[in-house]
Amino acid sequence: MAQRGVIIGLDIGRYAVKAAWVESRSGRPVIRRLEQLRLPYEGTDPFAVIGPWLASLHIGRTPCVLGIPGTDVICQPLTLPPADPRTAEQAVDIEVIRFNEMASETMLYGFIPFEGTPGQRALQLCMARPAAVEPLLSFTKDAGLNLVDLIPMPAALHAAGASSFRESEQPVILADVGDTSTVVTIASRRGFLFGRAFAGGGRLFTEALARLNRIPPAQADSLKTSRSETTETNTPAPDLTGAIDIWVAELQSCVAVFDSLFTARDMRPGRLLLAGGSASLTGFAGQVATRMPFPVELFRDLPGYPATDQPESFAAAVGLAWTGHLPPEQRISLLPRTMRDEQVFRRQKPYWLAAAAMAGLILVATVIGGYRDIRRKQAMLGTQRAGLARRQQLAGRIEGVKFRNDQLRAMAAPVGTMLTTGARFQLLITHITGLLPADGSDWIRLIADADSYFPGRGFTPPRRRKNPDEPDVNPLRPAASDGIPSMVQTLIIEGYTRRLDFSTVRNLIVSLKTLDFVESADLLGDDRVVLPPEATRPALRPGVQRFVLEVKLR
Amino acid sequence: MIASRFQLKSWSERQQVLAVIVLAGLIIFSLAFALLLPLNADRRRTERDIDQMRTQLAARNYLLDETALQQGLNAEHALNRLLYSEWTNAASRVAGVPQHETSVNASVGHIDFKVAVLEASQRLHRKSRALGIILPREFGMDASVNSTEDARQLMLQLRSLENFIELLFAIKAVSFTRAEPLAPVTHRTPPSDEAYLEEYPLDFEFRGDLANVMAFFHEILESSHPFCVRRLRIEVPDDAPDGQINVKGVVSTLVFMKDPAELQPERQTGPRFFSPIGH
Repeated sequence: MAQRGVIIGLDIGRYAVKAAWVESRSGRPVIRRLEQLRLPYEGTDPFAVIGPWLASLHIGRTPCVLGIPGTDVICQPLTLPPADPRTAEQAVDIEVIRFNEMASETMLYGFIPFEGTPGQRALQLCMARPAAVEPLLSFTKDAGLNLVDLIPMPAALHAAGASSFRESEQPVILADVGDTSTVVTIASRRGFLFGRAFAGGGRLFTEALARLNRIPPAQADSLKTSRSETTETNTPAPDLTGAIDIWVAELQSCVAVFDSLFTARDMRPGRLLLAGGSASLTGFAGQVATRMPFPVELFRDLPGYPATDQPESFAAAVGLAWTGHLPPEQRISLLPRTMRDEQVFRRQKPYWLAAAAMAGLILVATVIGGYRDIRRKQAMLGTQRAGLARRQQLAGRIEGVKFRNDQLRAMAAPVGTMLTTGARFQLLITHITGLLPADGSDWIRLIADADSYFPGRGFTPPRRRKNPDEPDVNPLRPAASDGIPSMVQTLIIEGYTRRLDFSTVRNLIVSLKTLDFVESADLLGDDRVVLPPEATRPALRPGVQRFVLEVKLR
Repeated sequence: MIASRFQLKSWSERQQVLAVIVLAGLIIFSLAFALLLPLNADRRRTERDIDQMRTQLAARNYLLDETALQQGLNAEHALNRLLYSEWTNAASRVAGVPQHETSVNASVGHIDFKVAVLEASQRLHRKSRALGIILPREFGMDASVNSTEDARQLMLQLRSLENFIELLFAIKAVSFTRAEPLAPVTHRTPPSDEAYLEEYPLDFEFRGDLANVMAFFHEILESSHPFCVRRLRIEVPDDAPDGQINVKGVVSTLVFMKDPAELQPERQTGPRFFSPIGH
C-alpha cells in the first residue's frame, strides 16, 4: 500500500539489496524504515530473488528511486569560463555529443551546477549508457514498481551526505564500499564536485580470506561477515592488510584524479567517510586512516537512525530515497526522456484531472444553465403563444360574427330598398302635390322609376303568354331577364310649366333635394328624354314647356 | 492486436488521462447537443410561430389585448342581435303568404293548383261583380299546368295574384286592366348561393284617381296585402277623363325561405388562423 509522502530508495548491489523508506519533513529527510536482503554469493540472477522480496515488503505503488551502479556511470565536471556565451544546457549537450561520438551510442545524461571558482560556471555532468539502464527499467516493470527516478550512485551518495558536505569548506570524500566496487563522491558546501567508481570492494577481502584459509569463497564470505559482526577490536586481521592496501591504492588514484581537476589549495580533501556494507569490516576504517593524510570515519550521519545499527550500509539507499524528494533542478536524473516526461506528467496529473474536472463542471453548469434558461424562455414563449392563440380565437369569432352581420346586411339591403320604394313614391307624390302652384301654371304628367321610364329595361318574363302571336301588353317588359332585377334607385318626374324662366321647376328641384331619401335632383338631359312617337305625340299648348327631372335616391 | 490496443491497462497514464478527459468532454458535449439543440430548435420554432401569429393578427388589426378583443366581440354580438331582430321584424311584417305554404317541402300537386285557380277565379269574379269593378275574364292565370312547372311556385303566384286583386278591390280602383304573374326571383346569399328569399312579382295596370293611388300606397304597406314596389309608372294619360291616372308597374310578394340562423355559416374571408404545429 502506498504511503503518502514516502519515497523508497532501492540500492541493488551484487551482494545485497537495501531499501530505505524516507519522507520529507520540513525539508529534512526522515527515515521511516530500512530493509536489507542478502543475496546468494554466487550464481543466481539477483533480480529473480529481489522480486519476491519486494512483494513481501508490500511496496505497492509507493514511489521508488533506483540507483545506477557507479561503475556504469561517468561523472564529468565541466567548467565554463566567464566569456563562454553558451548556456549550461548547450555546453552539456556539446559535451554529451562528444561522448556519444566516442562511445558510438547515445548516452543518457543529467547535470547539476556546483560553485566553481569565482566568475566561472561549473557543472557536474553524469552519463550512462542505455545498456546499463535497460535492465533496471525492465526489472522495475516486471516487479510492478512505481519508478519515479533513476539516479547515478555518486549523486545518491552526495544526497545522503548532504548534511556533512554542507558544513564543510574542504571537500569531503564519501566512499561507498560495495561487494565488487566502490563508489567515490567528493563534495563540499560548493556542491557535488567529483564522482567515480572503481572495481574493488568487499570481495577483495572475501577472496583474501578464501586464499589464506583455503576455503570456498562463500564460506570465506560468511567468515568475513561473522568477523565484522563479532569482533570488537579495531584491528583487522593481519591476513586482510594486503587487500586493504589494494583498495586504498585505488582510492588514492581517484583522489589524485580529483586533485588534478581541482588544483586549488583549499580544494584538498579534508575527510574520508566510509559507507557501504563492506565498510563496517572490523578495523577497515582504522587501516584506511593509517594510509590517508586526512581523518577517516564511518559514515553514520543518517537522520533519526541509531549509529549502533550500522547505518553506513544504507547510505546509498537513503541517498536515493532522499533524491526523490529533491526538486528536479537539484538532482541528476538518468531516467529516459519518455519516462521522465511520464513522471512529470504523473506529478501534473492531479492538476490536469482537477482542471479537467473543473472544465467538466463548468461545462455541466453551462449545459444545466442553458437548459434551464431555454426551458424558462420556452415557458415564457408558451405563455405568449397561448395568449396569442386566445387572441386568434377571439379574432376568429369576431370575424365569424362580422361575417354574419355582413351577411344579414347584404340580405336586408334589397328587402329594405323594396319595402321603402312604395313609401318613397308616396312621399314624393305628396311632396310634389304640395309644391305645385295653386294657379295651375305647373302640373305633373308622369312619375316613374327609371327602369319603367326608359324603354327596354323590364322585369322578369311572364309565366306564360296565352297566345304566342299576341304581342306583349307591356312593351316595357323584356322577353327574359337573368339574375335579380335592379332596385329602384332613380325616379323620373315629367311635367309642364308655363313659367318660361323655369323658376318653379328650380324651386321644385331645390325642394326635392331637402327630402332625406333624395341624394340628388336635377333636370334630365334633353338627349335622354323619352318622347312618344311624333304621330301620337300631342302638340304642346302655347306658352307651355315640358320639363323632366331625374331624382336619385339614397 | 486491436483488442490489446484498447485494453485500458496497456495504455500509459498520459493516454488514460487523455482518454478520460476526451471521453468526459464527449459525453458532456453529446449531452449538450442531444439536450440543448433540440430544445433550442423548439424554442426557435415557437418564436417563429409567435411572429407569424403576431403578423397575422396585426394584418387584421387584431393585435390588441384580450379585453379589447372581447369588447369587440361583444359589440359585434350586440350588432348581430340588432340586425337579426330587424330582419325578423321585417320578415314577419312583409311576408305575403302564410309560412306553411311557403316551405319548399310543402306538398302541393298540380291538381291543388288547378282547383285553387278555379276557386279563386269564381270567388274574385263574384266579388268584382258585387263591387262593380270590371275584372278581366282570365285574371292573369289560367288553370293549365305544364309538366315542367313547379306547383308550389304556381300556387304562390296564385296567392300573390289573389292578394293583389283583393288590394285593388280594397282601394276601389276605377278599372283593372292587367294583373299577371312574372317569373319568380330567388335571392341568394352571395358566397354560399343559398336561397333565403323568393320574390313573386306581378305585372299590373289599373286606372283610378289620386285618392286610389294614395290608397294603393297605403294598402301595400298593410300586413293584409303586403307588397313591394319594384317598378312603377304613374301617368296621366292624354285621353283619360279628368283626374284619372294610369298606374302600371311591378309589385312583388316576398316569401322568406329561411331564417338567417338556418343559413350555413360561411367560409371566413379573413386570415386563416391556425394552431402552431410542434406542440
